[in-house]
Amino acid sequence: MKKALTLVVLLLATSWVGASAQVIGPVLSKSSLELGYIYKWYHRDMEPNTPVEKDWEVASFFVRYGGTSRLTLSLEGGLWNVEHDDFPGMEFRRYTVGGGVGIRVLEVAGIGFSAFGHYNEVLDYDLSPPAFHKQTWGLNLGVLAEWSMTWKEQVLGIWGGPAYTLDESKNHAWNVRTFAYEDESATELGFVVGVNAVLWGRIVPSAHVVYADYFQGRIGIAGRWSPD
Amino acid sequence: MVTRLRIIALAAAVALLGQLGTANAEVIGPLLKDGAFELGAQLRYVHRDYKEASGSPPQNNVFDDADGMLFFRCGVTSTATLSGEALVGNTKASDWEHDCGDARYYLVGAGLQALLSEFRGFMCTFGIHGTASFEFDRTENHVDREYQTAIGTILVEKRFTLYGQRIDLLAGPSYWYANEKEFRDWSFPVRSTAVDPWGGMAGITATLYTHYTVFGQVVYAGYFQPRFGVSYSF
Repeated sequence: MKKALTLVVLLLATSWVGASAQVIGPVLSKSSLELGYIYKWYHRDMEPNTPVEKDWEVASFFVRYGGTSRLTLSLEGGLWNVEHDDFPGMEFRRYTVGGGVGIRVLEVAGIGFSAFGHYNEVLDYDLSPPAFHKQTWGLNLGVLAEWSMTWKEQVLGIWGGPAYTLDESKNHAWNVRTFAYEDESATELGFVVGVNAVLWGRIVPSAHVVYADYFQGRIGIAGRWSPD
Repeated sequence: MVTRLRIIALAAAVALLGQLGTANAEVIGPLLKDGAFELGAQLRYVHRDYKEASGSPPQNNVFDDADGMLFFRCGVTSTATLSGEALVGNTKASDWEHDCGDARYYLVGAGLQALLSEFRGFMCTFGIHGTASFEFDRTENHVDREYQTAIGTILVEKRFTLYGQRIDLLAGPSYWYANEKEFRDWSFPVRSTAVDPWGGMAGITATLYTHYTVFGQVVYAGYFQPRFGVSYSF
């Protein structure tokens, strides 16, 4: 009975991998700054532990800055108390930390091509007695083609390209630290496609989809400060 | 010269981050101009006396450590500077009762600094900043710790040029709140709060060749606590 209970508990513990987060977008012009908030839905196949199919959601604040006309740096962070439907009565303290870079490689016929990389890490610390702590690492690498148009002084950008999306997770239970259920995304290769607008030069709503196993949506809103 | 400075700044940033310990963290500095953006690293020495808020028997109540983090600061208007900080890494140092031999460390923080008034070349600014960090113990001790700090300060700043380089001096009174939660086993956390929150800070910032910033500050909150950092201004 005790073994069965432990198994159920550990299976539950692995059904939610915690969280990973990326801030991906077109390369910014030199000295442009974006401060914003992004909400991400995740749906991945993770192995080797069951259940394979896992989904989770993450929110974070981010800053993106055009250091040069070709280089965009990004940082993200978040601190939340979160709950999850799979774990009623539990409360998780969530730390989200990440950073990345986007590099404009070339521009041909009004279409910009850039490479990006982003790393992030999340801790979901279970404040309740079962101590189902979760840690997640995420890496996104890819190439984007970026195109934008202006209509009545408002800018609409469309971007997309192939992406490598790696997610790894560790699930702890009962405060055991020397052993954890470790999982890794089953499929890393996919693509990302997104759209963003720059309204009145200041407001930047955005949405994009990352495909890796499944379609995963992300929406965001940011304020932009730009010398342009 | 510029390349050499860039290498030195990078090496200093890496060296600072290599000193990563536990956390009490704030990002305070001179007000930035509209559109300015700084990215850097800071090393802070923290020495505070704590008292337990939960009524538990007192333990070693002196916190003595150094911590590092990455930060950014940006001038969103000519009178307001936003700041943020984040770091994830490994840590070993802790001088509380239980030593965290191997812990994963997470830090996030944000703040705002705003101009109150300007008079005869002096600026008076008000700053607030909050930081939270977590040590996730990876050993079987599983003694985890969360630190929360908040600062409110009023600073007088003076800017001048020396040998063609920009120097900023700042000083003023401050309130430094610090709270620590220690999680052991499955019990409620042991909470401690730093005593002597009222104090002050003073600092000097040198911006070399427009882009390279080196700064040193001393915070007084119960004890004198120095902090150093480097940043790149885009």
